[in-house]
Amino acid sequence: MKPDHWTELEDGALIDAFFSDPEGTSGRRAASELFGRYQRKVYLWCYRYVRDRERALELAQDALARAWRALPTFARRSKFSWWLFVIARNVSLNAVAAPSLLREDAALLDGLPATAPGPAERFEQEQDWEAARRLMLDHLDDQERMALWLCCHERMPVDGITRALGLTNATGARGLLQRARRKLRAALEAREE
Amino acid sequence: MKPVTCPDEAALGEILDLPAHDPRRQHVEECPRCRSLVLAHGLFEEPPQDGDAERAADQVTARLDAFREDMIGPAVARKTSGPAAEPPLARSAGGRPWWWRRLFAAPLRPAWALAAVTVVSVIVVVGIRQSRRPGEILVRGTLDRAMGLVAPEILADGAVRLVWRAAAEPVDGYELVLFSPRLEPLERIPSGPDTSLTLAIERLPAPYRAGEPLFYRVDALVGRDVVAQSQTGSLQKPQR
Repeated sequence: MKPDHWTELEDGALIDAFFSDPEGTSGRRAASELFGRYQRKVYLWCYRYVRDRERALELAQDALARAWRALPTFARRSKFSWWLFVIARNVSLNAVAAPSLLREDAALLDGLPATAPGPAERFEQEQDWEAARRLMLDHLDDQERMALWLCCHERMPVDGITRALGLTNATGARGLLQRARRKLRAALEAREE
Repeated sequence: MKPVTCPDEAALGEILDLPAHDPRRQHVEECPRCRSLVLAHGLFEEPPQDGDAERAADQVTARLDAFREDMIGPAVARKTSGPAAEPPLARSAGGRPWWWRRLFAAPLRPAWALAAVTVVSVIVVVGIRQSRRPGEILVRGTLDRAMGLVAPEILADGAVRLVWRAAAEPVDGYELVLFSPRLEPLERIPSGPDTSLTLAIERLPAPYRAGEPLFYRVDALVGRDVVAQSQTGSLQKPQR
């Protein structure tokens, strides 16, 4: 294969080239071309979470290094882009704190004196995502459910949720999240009674 | 919705390729967790509409390229990394300006080669003196004085035999890295656990066969990681 052809190959062909010579020069060149195609996407993905150039670079390098180490185990059942996305996602998720499912500004409440936990607090403390999913299915509409899940489970920033859901209203996903949380708290309180 | 167990993240990519009537695919359509992951992947794939993010990505492009090449090795052409990407290392001679071609014309090449050897030797010697004090711990992936290079041997058929001393630490194998006279990496050649490598003349890069000097270095590997490197040596085909 002529070296110039690497840039013309699709991802799958580059993966083939890597696995045909994983330790050799041609395998490394194929992998380098493949990683070069996605390094910017990985960086931008990490930047979404941390909004800091240097921190995002650290995370992107971490994700790319993990992917490179794991590449020989890539089972090729899904597309390479999906596989790399999952790695970048996990690295990014570990870098940011999980938002509260039921409260918008959990950090502001940290300094307040402790009170007896209400139904919302008890529900959150259980960290039961299956229960949360059932609650959301019962009480939220599709868009509210998706917004809240992207926020709390994917830890996605509000602007990312707005884009992912194609929202064009003035408040974007922020209003949707407020409404969804309000509904969930009301549902938990009603269940308590 | 039926209580279907969610697939793990890696398997979800595979499920997306299934036909729409497949129950696993239907689950993905209905489950907030799985759907949110699919939506997130959509954002990963699409170009961002965020000026700050784009500018930040432009500013780190060269560092990402350098990181990747240090980790994996260079791709043949660096074409994909956005507006701030550096020009490719390897360019055709026809794309160079006249003064460049004249400066590196054939009659002047030996002089340039000698100058390059001198500069590299000075850098290596100064680097060793400044960076390695007695008793200092060897940092992984840096110059390993234990991995000394033995002078290359040119065999009768033109093949080159390269020999080096083993790294201080146990390693899985070695890799020979060949550089052009301008210190551009040309090729990486795995040599396994042996501390010598014989390269037939056909196996050596064309510039060497044409009489240009080459530089080489030996990397010691554990898995895929370079844990130690030799000094840089030079190699030139003898004049017959």
